[in-house]
Amino acid sequence: MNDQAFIHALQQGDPSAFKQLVGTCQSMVYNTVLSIIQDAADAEDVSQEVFIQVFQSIATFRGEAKLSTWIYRIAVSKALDAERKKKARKRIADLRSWAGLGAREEAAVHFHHPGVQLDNRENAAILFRAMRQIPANQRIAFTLVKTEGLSYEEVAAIMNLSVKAVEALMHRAKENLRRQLTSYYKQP
Amino acid sequence: MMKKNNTSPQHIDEILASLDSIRRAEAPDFFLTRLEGRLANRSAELHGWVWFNRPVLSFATLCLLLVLNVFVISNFLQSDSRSTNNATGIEVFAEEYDLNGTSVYNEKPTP
Repeated sequence: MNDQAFIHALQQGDPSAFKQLVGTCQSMVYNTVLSIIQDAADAEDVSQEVFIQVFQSIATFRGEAKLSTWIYRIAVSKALDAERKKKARKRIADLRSWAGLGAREEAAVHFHHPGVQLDNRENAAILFRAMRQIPANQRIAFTLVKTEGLSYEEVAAIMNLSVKAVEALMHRAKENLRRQLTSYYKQP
Repeated sequence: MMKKNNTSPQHIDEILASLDSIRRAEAPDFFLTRLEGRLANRSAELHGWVWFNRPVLSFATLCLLLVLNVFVISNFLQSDSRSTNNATGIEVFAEEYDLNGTSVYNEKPTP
């Protein structure tokens, strides 16, 4: 089945085409979401929401971008939404604990990505921690390049930016990460 | 996790390069099965409301609500005027048979 026929089958609600899409893209979506929100349980939940969104809005897909680019966009936006909601919940929990109405939520622990080699595990956890401190657009560019192995052109298509803008984002991301890592090691 | 106080550029570079050989994380087992279950639940929830999305049915519901509103308002106005008429009727009746409060109390007691 070629791309056009496959997309047409998806738009007609063909269950086998949808199964094939999930089979092909589930790890791509899960890895992207996991690398952004850095929590395995939440990542599965959000990844499923991504496919539900794909299922519900495939009829609106016009083919202006590649199907994978469109799915990456949904994955990134769902992951950022989930992260915002999680931060808001944490703020409310902190406020409640401050007012003496509930227990204080545990601080985020180090995240260990399952695809990192054992000898890099500790360094990668420190890097993932620093990635949480940089602006969202820099983090998305850095994550897509580093954990999904995408080219700057592919990231530009996903983020609706020019390649130059992605290069600038990557440069700033690295600078900010250096700063974060230096201050992490300088902390007592 | 033990934190070594190492801010040397080489060490920072090592950390920045720690994701260079990363492999893609695999989706958990039975991801598709759980997704299918979730989709089935979601469509069952939506099914109750999906009829409302059809323009003919939503327009018919709107008309029904309008008719009901008109019916209730006209009923209310009618009952209001009927109660006013009733009140006048009672007064006429009382006057005719001389049953109003004053006339009863003004009546002389029978010996």
